[in-house]
Parts: sequence; structure tokens; C-alpha cells
Amino acid sequence: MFRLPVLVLLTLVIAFGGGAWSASWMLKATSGFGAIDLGTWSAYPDLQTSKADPFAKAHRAGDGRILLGRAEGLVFTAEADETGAALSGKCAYEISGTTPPARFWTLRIADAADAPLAAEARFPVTLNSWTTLRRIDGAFSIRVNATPEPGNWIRLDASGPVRFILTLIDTPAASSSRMVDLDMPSISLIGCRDA
Amino acid sequence: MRSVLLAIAIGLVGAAIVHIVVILALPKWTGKDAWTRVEAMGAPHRFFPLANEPNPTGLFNDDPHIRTAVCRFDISAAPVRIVASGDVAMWTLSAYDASSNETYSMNDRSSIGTDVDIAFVTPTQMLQLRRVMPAALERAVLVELTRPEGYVALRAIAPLPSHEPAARAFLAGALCAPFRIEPA
Repeated sequence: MFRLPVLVLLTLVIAFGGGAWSASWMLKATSGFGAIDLGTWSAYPDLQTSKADPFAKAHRAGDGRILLGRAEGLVFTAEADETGAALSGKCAYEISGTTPPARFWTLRIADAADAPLAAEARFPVTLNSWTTLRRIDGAFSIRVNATPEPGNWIRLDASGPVRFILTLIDTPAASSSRMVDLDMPSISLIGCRDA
Repeated sequence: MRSVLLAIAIGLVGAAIVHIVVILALPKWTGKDAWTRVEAMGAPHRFFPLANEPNPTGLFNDDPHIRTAVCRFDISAAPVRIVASGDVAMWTLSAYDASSNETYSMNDRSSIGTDVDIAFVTPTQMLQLRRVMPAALERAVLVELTRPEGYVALRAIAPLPSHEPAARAFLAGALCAPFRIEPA
């Protein structure tokens, strides 16, 4: 007697439950397609354009950031060191090498939700292309550590996972189709403190 | 048994449709996308410099070296002109439509001179301007937008703390004002 209503209910539960669950799972599992991966660094050169895919657009609307336009620059994010281990706020890292050509770049650290880390004003939490010391060949080496170091140093003392964000301003990389040839700095682990 | 399988099959097709609808509709319903946040900042046709710290508006400068000011505009009645000048190391600018898709971007190297001077116009206004170009607009970059509503983000770059006051003044003095096209 109740066969038909039960079947209709089953159909609706699968449709709405399954559809909503798969949509939220997809949004959690992927941050959209069209990422450019260079080693551990990744960037979304089309994220702010109408060419971004629907998943990227959903993420973009959820984040609510004012993104950099194509002529402005490109943001690279790293969530893992060169061995593939996730970046932790309790570890020390060395970021060394060169960046792709750009008029200006900045390096900063954010938490897993992309929010800036809380820090006291007396600590350096960011470096840029004007303030970074370089070797004669133009390469740099930046220490990211909780304890001060000579040379280029950014303080990192956080409890959770972190990500490094390299922002290139006015870079031909943003409009280049030959992204694979770009040199990105490498991230190597120096050591971790015991929690 | 067959009707149960049929119900599951129809349910899965429905799930696929719901999935697609949710993903496509989400950008309009998050309530915290960039356009909604810019709209909530205040009146159109003026620049609002963003704070460096996270705040209730939801918009802040992610990068302490890159200061941003946003202005919401609507060019359906009159074109809007963006003017800013000052002694900053670098500036960049992007315009977005109401869906936060980039419509135009430039930086100080691609401008005429070192100052910001851009006019956003509709295709109709562009035709009017082509007929009689006002002398004041001769050095401005004219950008034709198909959708009249949008916002523009102007960024000033301050590599060193000593550049901060100049970057702040640059953004505080930026204009985003509608202007009238004199009839020919």
C-alpha cells in the first residue's frame, strides 16, 4: 500500500541528499581545475576570469577575496616542502633559489584557511624583493624559523599547518603559456621542534 | 524489486542534476563573495581603502606590502573616471563585473605617464565620446565595459615601511567619479 510513496521518498532522498553531499565533497576535495603546479608551488592564473571552471568560481565566491588581475600579478601557494611533507608551523624551513621574472614579489605565511598568522609587530613575518638579501648570482636563501637567524629570516611559530604564499607582481608568468619552464624557489625542511 | 532499482536510478540522475545546480548556483548565494562585500562597504563612486587586519567587512589586505582600495561603480547613467597620482613604487589596477570576473587590468608600466587615468564607459557612451573627445580625456585610457555594474580595485605597493605614508595618500586621494559627456 505504501510502496509508491516509499519509492518516491527513496528517489528524492537519493537525489537531494546525494546531490548535496557530492557537491560539498567535490568542493572540499578540489579547489578547482586549471591549477599550474611548479614543484610544490601552485597557482591559478585564470581564477579571477570568466574562464574559471564552476568549482573554482564556487570557491572564489566562498573566499570573497579581491583577486589579482592578469596585469597585476600571480599568487603561488605551497602547502608542502620539496619531499611532499605538509608544511607545519612547528618546523623550520629554508626557501632558496630564484623566482620567475617579476618587477616585485613578496613572500608571506598564512594558516590553512589562508588567514595571516597572528604575530607581534617586532617580528618580520614577510619579505619582499626589495628587502631580501641575495648572493652574487641573484639567488636567495630565506630561513623560516621560530628563532632569529642571520641573513633573510621570517619568523614562523604556529601550532597548525601553514602555507607559504609567493605573490609575483607584474610578471610575464601570468600570461605565459610556458609556465613549466619557470624556476621556483625550493622549500627544504631544516628540522622540527617537539610539540 | 525492479521498481526499487528504477527509483534508485532516477534518484541518481536527480542527484547529478542537484549537484550541477548547487555548484552553478553557489556563487550567487554564498553571501560573502567579493561583490557582496564591496557593495556592503558603502556608497558607490568612492574608494574605500582596506584595512591591513581582518575585520567585519571581510575585505582586508592579504599582503601587508600591497595596499588595496576598492570602488563600486555603475556606468549605466554616466561614465566613471578613475584618477590617482602620487609617489608610489608601483601601482596596479583591476576592474571586475558584478560576478567578480576580471574585465580589465593594468599596471603603472602599461599606463600613459605614471598616474592612474582611466575612464570606464558603456559601448553607447564610447560612440558619443568618439564623436567629440573632451580635451580632459585625451590622455585617459578608455575601457569599454559590457556590464554597467562592477568594482575596481586599485593597489599601491609599499616595499618598505617608509613607503607606507605615500601608498596611503595615493589611495586616499584616488577619485572614482562619474562625469558628464557634453552633447555635441
